[in-house]
Amino acid sequence: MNKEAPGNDVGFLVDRARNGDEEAFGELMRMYHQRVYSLIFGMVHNAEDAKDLSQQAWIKVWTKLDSFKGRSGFYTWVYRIAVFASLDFIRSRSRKKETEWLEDVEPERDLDAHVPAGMTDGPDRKLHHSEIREVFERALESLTPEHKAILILRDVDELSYDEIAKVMKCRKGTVMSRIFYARKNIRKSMGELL
Amino acid sequence: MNRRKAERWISMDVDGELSSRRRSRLAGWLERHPDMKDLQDAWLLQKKILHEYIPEPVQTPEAAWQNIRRMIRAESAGRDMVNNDMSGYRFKFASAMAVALLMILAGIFFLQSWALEDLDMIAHMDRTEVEWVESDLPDAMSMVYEDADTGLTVIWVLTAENGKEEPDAG
Repeated sequence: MNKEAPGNDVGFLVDRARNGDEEAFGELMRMYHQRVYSLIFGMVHNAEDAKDLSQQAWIKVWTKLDSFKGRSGFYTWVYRIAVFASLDFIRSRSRKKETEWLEDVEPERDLDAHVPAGMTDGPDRKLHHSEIREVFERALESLTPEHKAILILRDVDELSYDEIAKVMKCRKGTVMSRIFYARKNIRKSMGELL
Repeated sequence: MNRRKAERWISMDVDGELSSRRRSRLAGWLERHPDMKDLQDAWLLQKKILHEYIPEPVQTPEAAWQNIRRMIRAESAGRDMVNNDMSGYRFKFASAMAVALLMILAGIFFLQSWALEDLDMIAHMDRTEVEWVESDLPDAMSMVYEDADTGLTVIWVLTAENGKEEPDAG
């Protein structure tokens, strides 16, 4: 996945946006909108929350543009804002003891393509589909927010360990370790399904 | 290589972070440990499921941008309003401070004037205006003043008989 548009374009747009050019900021936002949304959705598991948090993250990006020094990539900086906005949200949600699950708002997706061939055959196909979906979701939900964020940055956004370390402000070794344990925990939670 | 180390290497391999030398070592090890090959397959599958689990955004980028632009403008307007409020507040505060300062200065001035006047009154309170006048009497000294108690004008002539000898008489 191409994480960053050509550097000059992004740098030019960031400079313009920093000078108050809304259209330039709009271009940047359109470039990274889906990735930011995906990252946040993977962490909060709720389409509406992900939409709201995504908007909040972009507004924060706009208001904090002056503080972006360009030492890291723009997307790294934006992801960092999105990740920490999501972590704050998850912590506050935990405090309120609210539980919101994906199935109420999320449209069905075809996961069969990724289910081993044997599982998609036979009368239990529908059962397996929803079962895998539900179990995977619960397995993901069982991870700590930090583990979840790192796993999504790796598996969905395909950031390198170094890039993830910059986003999460942690060491590369921590990134490797968290990904490893997140995967192990998901596999354990999914049991026979994976 | 032990299994624990192999697991870590498999995770790194799934992420494409394993060097080619280590990757070939791992491949050789996995051939001898087929049960661990299942782990590699499971993690690759897990990665694909996670990738597909994430939905498309509920809004198109353009619709999302229109929303965000509205919010940015509203936020800017709000900030301007706060700034204006703050500048209005600052102006009111500065005006109040100026008035207070003026009142304090006026008070000080009043008190000072009152004190001076009071001192002046004290200085003048018991003073009797005395006017020295010429007299044809030899060796006499005359003075005219208003007696504070009676209000009468007194003409006092100090002669050799009644004045100059007075100290001696006392």
